[in-house]
Amino acid sequence: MRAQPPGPAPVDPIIHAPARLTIMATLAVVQEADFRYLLHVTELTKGNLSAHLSKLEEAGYVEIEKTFRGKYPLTICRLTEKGRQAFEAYRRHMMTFLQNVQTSSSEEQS
Amino acid sequence: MTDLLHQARRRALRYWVEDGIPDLYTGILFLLFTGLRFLAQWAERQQQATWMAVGFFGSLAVILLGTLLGRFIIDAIKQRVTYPRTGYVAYAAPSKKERRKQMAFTLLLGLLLTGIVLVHPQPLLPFRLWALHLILFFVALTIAWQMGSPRFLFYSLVILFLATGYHLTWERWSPSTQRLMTYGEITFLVLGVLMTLGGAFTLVRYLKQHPLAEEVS
Repeated sequence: MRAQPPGPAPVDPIIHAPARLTIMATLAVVQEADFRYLLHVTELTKGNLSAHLSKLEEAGYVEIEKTFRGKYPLTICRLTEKGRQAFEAYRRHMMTFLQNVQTSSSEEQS
Repeated sequence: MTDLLHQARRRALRYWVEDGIPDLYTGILFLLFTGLRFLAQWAERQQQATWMAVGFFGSLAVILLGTLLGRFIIDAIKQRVTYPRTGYVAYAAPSKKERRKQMAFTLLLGLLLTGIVLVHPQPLLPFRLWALHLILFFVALTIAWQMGSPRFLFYSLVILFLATGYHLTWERWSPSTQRLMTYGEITFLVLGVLMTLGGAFTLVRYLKQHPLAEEVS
């Protein structure tokens, strides 16, 4: 029996889910954002966003801080250093994967 | 992936102008500046030294303080109006690459202005007006491009239109009318009116679309 060539390294399943990927990308380009901003930008429901944020927090990718700004309560979310590194690794992994797919499809065509 | 990050960055930047507050603030600033400049010009004709000083130093203070404190004032307004409605976001400090881009842009603008002086040492339009319109045009265009804001694209086109108009008609202006444009007052007046109206209209629409909601988390 011939040995199978090694497949692509597994992607981070925590980030790979579309909703969590959107949250990670949103938080990756800002210093911090609150729950309401993430709701506004991702267009997820409150329950959905809350569940995804909890998963990211459990993984140590997102830090959640409950605070006040004036009289308004705020739920501030920001990427942790671990979260930034994981997102960068995921990004690089996907870029390489997509480049490989593009190369092999153009090779097949020629 | 790069697209996703690019979109997220643009979305975050666009959020800054989404409520119309920056336009409204800038518009009011421009109108104040114009009002004080016209006051200084009127006082000069009437030989009223006190009012002339008020107009001159007031317009200088409005532009300097308004620009320096702009970010803090707009942020303070957003804390009351925008953040309780559609959320708060703190922008990341620009990266080295972004800073290099900004420096290159400033350098390019400087070279362009120097080029104008060298190629056309005595332009029909005084140099300060050329420089002013060019800077205003590029600033508005950069905001429009970076934040994907059609309103700022419109403002930049208005600036271009006004600059071209002055250039073509400047010689026909009487000296007293030309004096009205010492520091680009007419441009600031037109922009002030347009930005105040544009900002106010956008803010009203934003407030209607996003009524104050209860805390969510």
